[in-house]
Amino acid sequence: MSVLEVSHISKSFGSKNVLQDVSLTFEENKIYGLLGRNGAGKSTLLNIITNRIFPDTGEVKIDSENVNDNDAKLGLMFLMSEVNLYPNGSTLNQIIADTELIYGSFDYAFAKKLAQKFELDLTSKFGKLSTGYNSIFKLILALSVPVKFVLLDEPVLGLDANHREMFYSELIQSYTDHPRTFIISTHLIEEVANLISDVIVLDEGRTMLDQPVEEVLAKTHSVVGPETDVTAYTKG
Amino acid sequence: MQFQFNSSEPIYRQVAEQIEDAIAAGGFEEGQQIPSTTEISKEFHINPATVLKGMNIAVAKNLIEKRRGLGMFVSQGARQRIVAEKKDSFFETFVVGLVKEAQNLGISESELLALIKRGYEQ
Amino acid sequence: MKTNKITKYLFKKQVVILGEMYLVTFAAIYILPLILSLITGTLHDYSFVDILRTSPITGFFGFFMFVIATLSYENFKFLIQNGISRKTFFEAQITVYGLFLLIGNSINLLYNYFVYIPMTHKTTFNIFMAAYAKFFHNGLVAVLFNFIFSALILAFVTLVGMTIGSFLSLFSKTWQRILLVATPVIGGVTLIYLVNALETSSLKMTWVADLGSFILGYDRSGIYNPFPMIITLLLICIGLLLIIRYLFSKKQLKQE
Repeated sequence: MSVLEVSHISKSFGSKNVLQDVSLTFEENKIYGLLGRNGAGKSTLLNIITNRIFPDTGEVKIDSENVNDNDAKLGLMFLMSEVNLYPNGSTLNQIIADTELIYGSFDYAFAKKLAQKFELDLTSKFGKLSTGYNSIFKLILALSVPVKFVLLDEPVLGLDANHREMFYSELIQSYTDHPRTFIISTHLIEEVANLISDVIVLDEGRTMLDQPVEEVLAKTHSVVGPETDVTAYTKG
Repeated sequence: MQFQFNSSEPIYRQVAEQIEDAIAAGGFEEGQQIPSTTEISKEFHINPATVLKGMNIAVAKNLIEKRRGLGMFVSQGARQRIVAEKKDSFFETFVVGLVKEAQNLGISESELLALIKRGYEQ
Repeated sequence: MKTNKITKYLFKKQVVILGEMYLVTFAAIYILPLILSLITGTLHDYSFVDILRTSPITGFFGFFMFVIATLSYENFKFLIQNGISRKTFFEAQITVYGLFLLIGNSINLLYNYFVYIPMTHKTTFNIFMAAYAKFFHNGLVAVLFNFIFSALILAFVTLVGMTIGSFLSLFSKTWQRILLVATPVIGGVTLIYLVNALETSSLKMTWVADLGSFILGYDRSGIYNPFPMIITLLLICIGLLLIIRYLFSKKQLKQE
């Protein structure tokens, strides 16, 4: 069992406190929804978890081992986000080959199948992709690398309704074939409401909610009645 | 299968109810295979564990059964059991309340039976 | 653990650039003059031998190492995306540059010993040959130490490039620009001030001169001792490595 622990993370940019004493635990094989408004600190938190940036205080651990500068632990996570960390001049095939080299394995068959479904040409250059296909390619990578924690930051950005549908279905297929932990950060709550098993809500850098969805739903009804969802609850 | 996900009920219970309703309405015949957890999960973007939880309720009620390596199938006599259960719950939710209300209004048993008969004749 | 894989990855990426550098150098030095003389009809003036004799191929390699060493952020981005630690990136990058130094230094010396000397009959093609080679009585030992000495100078140049590059990569683009403009200006002014102060000062800074001549291995005979210089370069390189390791550990993804 792998457990990802975030303990007492605080981070500020200049005078702005982006995260304030955030502590969370992510358990194996669950699908977490990381929800909150723009600027709530979701992306910053995911960047800190994956050691892309450093927290001011606090630490991130996998199985009680700090992930900072730790290949063995960092290699268990993959963060797909809006920022592009791939060379623009490389073809998608090259990026896949390099990714495979680093991780030691890669689900080629699945990646090829997805590329075909989404009609993504793997011989095109990364820098030439449209916003939608840029997201699709990075999602294909995220679903094909052999990691235990897949972190998706606004995964469906720039995808049309049809592609979004396809993505969620493929996510479930991939999850069923290889159960692992997903952390999906999004503001499109309705789309993931039934997909996630646990919900975390960040608001102004603080954890507002961290519970299984069922419990949240139970509370929601006693508070605001039917026809409402997590959104209504979180809006308070 | 149809899912109405705006209602207040937890999704896993809705999954169980949808399966039950589909069997009761003849959408799924006895002995017929029903969609797998993954298929339902992918179609409606529901967490597989949630779908499984709903399926397990139906399994516990002996409405569907797992055939190793093949999938989920509607059990023999499932429809009958559902109807029987619905009758039970009909008694609990309607008849018990009806009788109680009738007593409050001073309606006797024979009067009530006459009323019910009138209802059937309409 | 993953250092081998990353070394392989970086080598694969960067050796292409090294190859391109040699190709461009070759084209610029040999082919371009040929084409120009063809166009201008002065082919009889074109001398492959002359160009070969005077080509600054050895200097190009040092310059190339300096430039490529300043660039590390692109690779950092790709590696941190794929869960590679800063420590592993550092180790792999140092290994790759070490291999490059072996390649480039070998090409340089092969060129000097087998092209330059036979053609020009001059043996003083670098600092080592000019000042230290005669220190060794055995010719082969001199070549070996020439290799070590040249490699250390190239390593120094490369590590300075890495230090500057990884220091700058800690800052945003705006700050990088400010630093790039301000540092030479401030540094230059300081240097001029220092030189003036030293010249006008009645105090003779004899210890500076003494230290300098010790490091250079100065000897009145004109045959300098290379060992103080080799050890000094080695110590400086180790110091730079420690600084670069620290700077690498501070690398972060920048807000874009």
